Formats: sequence, structure tokens, C-alpha cells
Amino acid sequence: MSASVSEDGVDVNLTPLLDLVLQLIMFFMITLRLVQYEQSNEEIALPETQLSLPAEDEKKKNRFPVWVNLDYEGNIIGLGKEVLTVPIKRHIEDADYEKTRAVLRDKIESYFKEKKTDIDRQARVMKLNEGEWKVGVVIRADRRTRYEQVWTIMDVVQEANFDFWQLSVLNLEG
Amino acid sequence: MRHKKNKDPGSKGVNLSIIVVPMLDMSFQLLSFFIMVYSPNAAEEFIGGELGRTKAAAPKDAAVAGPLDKSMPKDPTKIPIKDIDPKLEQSFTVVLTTVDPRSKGGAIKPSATREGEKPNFIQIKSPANALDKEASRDADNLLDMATFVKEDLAFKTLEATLRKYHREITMTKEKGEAKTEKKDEVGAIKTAIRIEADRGIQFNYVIQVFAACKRAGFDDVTFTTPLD
Repeated sequence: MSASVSEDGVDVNLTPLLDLVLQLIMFFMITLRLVQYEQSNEEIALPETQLSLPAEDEKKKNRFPVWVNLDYEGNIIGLGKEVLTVPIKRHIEDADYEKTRAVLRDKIESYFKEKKTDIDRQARVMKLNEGEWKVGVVIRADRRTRYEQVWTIMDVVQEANFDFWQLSVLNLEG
Repeated sequence: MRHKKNKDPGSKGVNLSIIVVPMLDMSFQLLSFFIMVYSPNAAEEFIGGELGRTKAAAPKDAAVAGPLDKSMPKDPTKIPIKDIDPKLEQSFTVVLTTVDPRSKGGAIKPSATREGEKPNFIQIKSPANALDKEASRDADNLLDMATFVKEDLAFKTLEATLRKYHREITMTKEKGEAKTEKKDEVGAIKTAIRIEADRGIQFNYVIQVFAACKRAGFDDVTFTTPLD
């Protein structure tokens, strides 16, 4: 940093410092992701992998996702006020499992349908024509979650008439 | 804001150098804010696909198009050949299981925790032997996780095996010519991989297998109903 001696003492030239600071601010502003809580729930440790994923194409625009966070114990976080737990099958003919699963399916389906109605309304506000947008579910499942619990969510999504599903992963290749 | 008057009598105007200090203060505050809220989560990506539109009245176990493949029977050997989806015969199946497939059977082993568990075996069932139980016991297609020092090595071995299969399927050599890609009428290769896993397997391992399949060159990778 340059400094000059004047009659009053030493004057430090702060301009380069200010330039650098402003550049740093710009970097953080550009790279900052202002996401909703449900999209960045840090309680969820996503699976980490190396995967070459195709770049987002034009067709993937106008996609409206509903986010579902599933913790390592199979609890669905942020799906209304009630904590829902995806059941585990203890043996082949587990009657309790089937019963709990049916209740859960109804709750998730009704939540999804409510969300889907909201999204359909948003799309119409955006003046999109019928068929120009897609509504899907993004499942942010913890890496330790049991496969059957993730599958149950995917199964419900399939039955709730959504257009697509996605699983969140941390791509180390990126 | 106060401005310092230029002491030089020969020049006109205001010396603006003094206003740099509060600006710098503000800049540092902003910088601190952005550093604190910065979260390098840009690596989060999504895998998945389109779903076939299903009618609400459709039976829940009906086969549907799309990445959620429920058409895979739990035991293909029990289905009459005429009823088997021709696609199945072209598909590889990768099975993640805690029980040795060579001695598989019996009820589900209850898990002590609510968390998932590690698979002890990863088995590849190739299209040719998918319906042949004896052939599916081929030792080359069965990875015993206990024999690998690191889990990563098991997935790399799986990837190498799948890559070999992919090359065999997609490349053909005729009359001394260079190998060329085999393609069907629409110019695509239909060979798919289905991932089957025990109910209690950790989701992470299913994703690792998915990634290995993709890295090996297979585009059509689907998940199937968890094994009972």
C-alpha cells in the first residue's frame, strides 16, 4: 500500500484497499444463493458422489418443484406442522406397516396436491399455457436414510400425478 | 458528511479523500455479512427424470413408464416366459443386499436402528442370466464388500465391470472392421440397468451404485421396488 508524507503526517492511500474490498463484496453477492429454508436444510447430509450430469436444457425451464426433506430417521421435515415418519417394514406381512403407510400416503398426497394447486395458479399468473410447465418433487434425503423410506416417497409422488421427481445429491465432480 | 477543504490555495474544489474512511467501514461490514452468510452449496445437483402421467383410478401395482420401474417382478423365475416384459431380458440388474445371494431366503432381518445399513454384497445380474438362477451365481458378478479395504474400491470395481459389459453391448466387430456402436432402429441403445436393494440399505449406497452405472456409460438407470 502506498503512503505519502504530507505536512500533517503520513497519508495512507486507501483506494486500492477499497477496490479490493468492493470486489470481494461483488464476488460474495454474485455467488450467494438466497434459497428457502426447505431447500437448504443443513440437518440433511446429502449423499456425495461423482456424477456427470447433463447440463440443464431449455426444456427444463418452467419446472416447479415441491421440496421434501427426509432425515436419517425417516422423518419428513417441513411438511406442514406435523412431523411425519415414513414407516419401516418389520416383516413380510406387516399389517401395522401397511396401515401406517396408507395414512402417510393420504397425508403426503393431500399436501402435494395442495402445493400442486398453488403452483398451477402461479403458472397461470405467469401466463404460461397449459402444458408449458411441470410440477415435480425434489427429495432431499439424508445419506443414512433407509432405501425403503426414500422409495415410499417416490412411490407416493408417482401416484400423486406429478410430472417429475428428483433426488438431491452433492456432486463432487462439479 | 464533512468534507475537508483543500488547503492548497492554488486549486479549487473539495478534497474527497476523507470520505473514503466511512465508505471503507461500510464496505467491511458488508463484506463480513456476506462472508457469514456464504454457503458454498453450489455442488448440490439433482438426479431423476420424468414420470408417466398415471390415472388416479389405475391400480397401484400396475406397470408404469418412467424411472420408477415397478414392472420388475420380485422373482422373475416364477413368471411364465410369455408374460415377461421383453425389456427385462435386455436389462442388467444390480442388487444391493446384506444377505449372501448364494444363500438368500427367509424373513426380513429386523434392523436395530432406524438408520440404514451397509450392503454386504453387490451382485450384477446380466441380461443373459437374469432368468437363470445358476448363472446368476457367477462369482465374477458378486462383489463381497468385506473383501475391499475401502468402500470406494468396491464401487470402482463395479464401475469397471459395468463398463466392460457396456462395451460388449454397444460395440460390435464385424469382418475385421473397427468396432462400431450397435444401435437399434431409432438410433438408441436400450440396455438399461435396474437397481434393487434391500429395504434397510442406506440410501447413500443406492446412489453410489447409480453413479457407478452412469459413469460406466449406461443412460437408462432405474430404481425398483425394495426387496422383501
